[in-house]
Amino acid sequence: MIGLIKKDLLIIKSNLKQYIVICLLVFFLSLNGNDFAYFLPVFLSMSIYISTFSYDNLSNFDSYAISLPVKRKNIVKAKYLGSLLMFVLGCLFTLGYAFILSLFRDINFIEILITVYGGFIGIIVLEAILYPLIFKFGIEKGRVFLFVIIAFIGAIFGIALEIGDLTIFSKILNNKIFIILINLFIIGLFLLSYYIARRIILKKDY
Amino acid sequence: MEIEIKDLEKSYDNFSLKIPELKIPKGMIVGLIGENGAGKTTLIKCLLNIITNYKGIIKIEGKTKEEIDFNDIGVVLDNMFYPDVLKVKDLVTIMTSIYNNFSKEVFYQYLEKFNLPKDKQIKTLSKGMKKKLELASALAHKPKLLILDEATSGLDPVVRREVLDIFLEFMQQEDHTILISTHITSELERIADKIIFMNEGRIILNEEGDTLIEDYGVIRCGEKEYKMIDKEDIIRCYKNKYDYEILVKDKNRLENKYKDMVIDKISLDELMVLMIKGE
Repeated sequence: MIGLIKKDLLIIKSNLKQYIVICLLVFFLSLNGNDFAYFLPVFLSMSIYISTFSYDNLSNFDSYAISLPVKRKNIVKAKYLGSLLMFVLGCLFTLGYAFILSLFRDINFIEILITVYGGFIGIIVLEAILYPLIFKFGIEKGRVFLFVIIAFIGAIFGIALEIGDLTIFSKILNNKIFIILINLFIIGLFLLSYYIARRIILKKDY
Repeated sequence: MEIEIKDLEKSYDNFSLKIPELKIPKGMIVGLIGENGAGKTTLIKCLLNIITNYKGIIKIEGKTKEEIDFNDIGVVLDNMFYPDVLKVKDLVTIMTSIYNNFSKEVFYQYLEKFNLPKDKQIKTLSKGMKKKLELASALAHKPKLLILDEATSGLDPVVRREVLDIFLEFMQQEDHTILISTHITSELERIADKIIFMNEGRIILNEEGDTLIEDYGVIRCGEKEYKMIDKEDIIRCYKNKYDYEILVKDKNRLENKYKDMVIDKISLDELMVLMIKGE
């Protein structure tokens, strides 16, 4: 399993230059006060890691991996753990980035942590829904699902904005019990997603 | 390593693989031949658990599919490998974590032998170089069984010869086995101890390599001679525009029986054509 995570990280490393260019671009844009750079962990951990599915698919590595001394369940585990690892790296990157930015202008670190936490919830929900679909239908159809899921989440936020009651989110974030419940729900959802994906791959023919 | 198959069945909408019994003893090079779509790759995928929803029993070295130790198996599969954005040397980092007995030294020896650059991305390699890399990675973890699907396609004759020599070197160990599926049948004539011929998902011929060369033959003749041959002596007959090509077995006996006819040795290519096209 470690070998498979290393393989994904090496794939990501092969595109590192492009990712650095994107990060620098975002950095210079956010010098003017745009804080969307804090969504970088979301961007990095999700879109970059999902790209590893595409590379696997292009080279038929998903079939090849079955012939290696790696259990099928560990192929799934490697993707889920790799995603979490990427998220942690993304968060560390964001904090480092915020620190550098704080040398140029005032930064509200609490706001950053809330953004990163929001990103964490978004990623887990998105990946928990998406990964079993990718394992079942492949990355090509998985991408279509990704857009549908993003559109769905966007629509919910859009409706909330339309109704105009966004205070509910800040109320939730100020309530410790709600936070604990959300965290438990997120962990449960991710584990449930892992078990579904594992069941899919155990029965799958390539 | 020994392979045993019993009552293997795998069905798709327009194709089914059915192998009632097959035994590949250890210490043999076994060639798997047949047309495209004959079921060779499906069989290999079943052996490697890439296809798992099949009926029947597959055992490798007496172990069922749940127990097979893939550390002992080296594979080269058609169009399946590591993502091509990886560098050649990245495979060492990955495979030392995957295989118990992966040897960096052996891997680099093969890279040198095959003139492969270790700092290049896989996508920059030619088709033949990529195949050689696949072979190097299949051999570097010191397997006992090699399963090769079109492993020599894309290689030029010189390199192909080198690769065949590597296979023969691999077979110096008594318990080593190679199952090789290929379209280039001439190389099997040189190295295979046994030939398995598949057609439409069935094994239609399973013979020792020597038997095929010595016992099988082809009679090329006109209609008059064709009519003189007993039907029970004919395995397959293919009618060309001007003559007949007749596949026969037990060449020595038939040479005495049909003294006026010439029975030529048959190549695997000819055998394939006659077995599939003949009647």
